[in-house]
Amino acid sequence: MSNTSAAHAMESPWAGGVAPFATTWQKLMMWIFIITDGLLFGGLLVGYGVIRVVSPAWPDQTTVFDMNYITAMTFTLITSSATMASAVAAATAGLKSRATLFLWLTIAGGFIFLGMQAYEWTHIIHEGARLTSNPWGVPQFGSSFFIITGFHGMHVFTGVTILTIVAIRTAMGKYSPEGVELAGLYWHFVDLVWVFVFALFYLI
Amino acid sequence: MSTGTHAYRTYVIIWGILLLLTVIMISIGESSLPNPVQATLLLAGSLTKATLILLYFMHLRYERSGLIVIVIAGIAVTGLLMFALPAFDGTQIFKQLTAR
Repeated sequence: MSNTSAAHAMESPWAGGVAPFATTWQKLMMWIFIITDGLLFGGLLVGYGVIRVVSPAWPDQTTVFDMNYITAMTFTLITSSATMASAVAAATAGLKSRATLFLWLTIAGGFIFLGMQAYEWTHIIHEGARLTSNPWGVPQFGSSFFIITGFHGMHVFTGVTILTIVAIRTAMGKYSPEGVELAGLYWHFVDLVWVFVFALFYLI
Repeated sequence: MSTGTHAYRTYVIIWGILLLLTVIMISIGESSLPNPVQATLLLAGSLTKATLILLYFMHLRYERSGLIVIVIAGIAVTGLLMFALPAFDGTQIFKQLTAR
């Protein structure tokens, strides 16, 4: 191989070299974590999908859930994802106070979502839903609901905790734009998972 | 990665599209379309929303193609395989259950 073609090959994204993904190890690790966590939710949703295929009947979600309420939860999470993206843009541009403001708005969105989910759980439990039984028929309906939304809620709670630490550090000036971006990647992932939970569990 | 006013405008547009897609998906969910059509449209809507979040909010469009491929292959392809394989078993179990 001539020197020119060898240099061209090394410029290719598939050439490897010392940094084949042209990113920092922290960001690469975050992406690998997101992939593995995505597979966890993939497994849960696939398990739910198989239960749906096997079950001769499934409760009508509109009779169990208030769809306007679930829509408001979805809007809240999407909006918090937009404010998170804005926080990353502000941090990258070196605008500390603007980044802090957007981070607190994102945290507020996360808390509102968690509060709404806690209310939804309380309501469903009062209606008689448990992990092994529920008033609407198929026992797996309750277990699917509590496990899938519970796992997601736990991720939202973790995200809010991480974002609070990042927001405090940003306000104190002890932040790096990449630190905000990594926290943002996790938060957007939480939103991404909800997109599928919302469609597969509440709409289909 | 884009920064400044241009970035905020992009995020507002993507936010608006995501909300609009959510409203459209709710309408599809409440419609009287046949179940397979409804499920296909809702899955297409979810994939569109997920793609927008990945590309714009998570900035995947600014990353190298190698990273884009491992994310898509890692989540989407494996997820589809995970569903496709047990789904065949599931349909057989469904037939046996309903035949009883």
